[in-house]
Amino acid sequence: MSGLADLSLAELSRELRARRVTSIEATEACLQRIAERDELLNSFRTLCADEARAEAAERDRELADGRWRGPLHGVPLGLKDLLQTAGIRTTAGSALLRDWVPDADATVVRRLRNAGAVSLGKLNMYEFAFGATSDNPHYGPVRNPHDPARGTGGSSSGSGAAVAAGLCYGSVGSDTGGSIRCPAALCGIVGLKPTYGRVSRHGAVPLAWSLDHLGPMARTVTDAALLLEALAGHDPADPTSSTRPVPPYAARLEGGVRGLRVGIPRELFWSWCHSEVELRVREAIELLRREGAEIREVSLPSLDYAATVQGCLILAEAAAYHREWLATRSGDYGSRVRMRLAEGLCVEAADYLNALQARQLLRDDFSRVFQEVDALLTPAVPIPAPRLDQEYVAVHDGVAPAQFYMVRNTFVFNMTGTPAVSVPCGAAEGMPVGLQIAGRAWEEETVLRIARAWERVFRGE
Amino acid sequence: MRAEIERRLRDALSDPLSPEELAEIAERVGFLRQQAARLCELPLREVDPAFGPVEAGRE
Repeated sequence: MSGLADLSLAELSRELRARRVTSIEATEACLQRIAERDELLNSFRTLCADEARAEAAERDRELADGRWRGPLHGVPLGLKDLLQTAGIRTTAGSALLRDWVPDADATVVRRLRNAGAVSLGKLNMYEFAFGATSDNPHYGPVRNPHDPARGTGGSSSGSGAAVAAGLCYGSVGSDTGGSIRCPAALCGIVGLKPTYGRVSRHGAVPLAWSLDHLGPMARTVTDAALLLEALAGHDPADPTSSTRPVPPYAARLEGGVRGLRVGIPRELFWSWCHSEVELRVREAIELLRREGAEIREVSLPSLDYAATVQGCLILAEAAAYHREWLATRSGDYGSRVRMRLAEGLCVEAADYLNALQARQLLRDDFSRVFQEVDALLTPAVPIPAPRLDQEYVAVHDGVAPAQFYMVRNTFVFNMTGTPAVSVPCGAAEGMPVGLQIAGRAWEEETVLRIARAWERVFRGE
Repeated sequence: MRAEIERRLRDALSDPLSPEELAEIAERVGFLRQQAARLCELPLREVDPAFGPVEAGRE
């Protein structure tokens, strides 16, 4: 059984379909790995071993009867603990929802079940997803599988650790400022934030409704594409969900980068960047140029005010959602989240509305650049994973709180609503580095195609 | 600023914040408002007033 948990999702899927491996065996391999490693990593909040075994047995029976639901049939996955699961506790990383047992599945959970996936349980996260480190004041920090003295980034911290450590074959995370891409980068896996409206958010505990996205976290680009195919599609229960058809992402990954125009932004992304991280990403850009991508510098002046816009939006929207609980149970929040929410209650209405308008200008700026180029490349997170006890991180620009770096390079794509992925691209201080690839709205195919081209170069395939 | 923040949050939160927490929130709110005021230097009146948050990234 050794090594079964280390297969990619796509490899496992092939083995399951050919009936060389059973879903029960794959599930047991994950459960064994969880038993061995998760006491240290702390990635699972609620483990559903018995339910997973029962689901796996049912999937095996279906296969024996000749019924194959698709590439996720019988594949054990983990779910971020803000996705509602019928009959299974959903805490959103909070004490406030410590005992909440929803009576219905989130749309993405239902989609995964219909696709035949097996749920191993719920994965730890930053409290209410309102932070991007691996801290959690109620359930303890999630530790990085590459070095347990370091964090995973957040807020999908448990998803990052569990997928990287082989505790599950993939996960669904949420991303309001970078919460999929940040832990993906720091844990050395692939994390994709799709276009706003591509994946239904119905049944996910929101953080900020105009910035929230759900998306896949996996060990390879192909795995992320397979997960996205299952997750994406119209959902009448989510008014922001798109009716656009879902392309066969996994079948269109191998087009290469020849002839694609790739932009390197001059601003923001390269300041406050660890020198080894910058080196790894610049090396990746050079290798993609050799593969045939046309590399050019681009300018995005709107990045000057992007952080202010994001601050007004995320704080005000989060405070609006939490207002009732703040009035009745504010003592149940951890101190940091309570303070951020209190700050959100003090955002002026005119500032929020001006921020919405400024976001439109920012989107126009990005639309202009996306007429010049097909994608943008940047470091996903400008530093390697900080130590859990490290409050401040020094780079050549100075010293700043660890939290400052976590979503600095990712949050802008939540405001534009456009797709962005983090893929592994080497190491800094011995820890994983992520290359961020961002594209036009609805062009996940292009983003994934570049990611796959890079993955082939990086892995020497 | 500190007094205004205290007033606003007194009834909004069921449990009182510590003086240290209030001081930090006041500082952060002051900074955010200062930065937000600078947004008015942008051509915001040229933005379609029908634009709303749920349109981000949609067709």
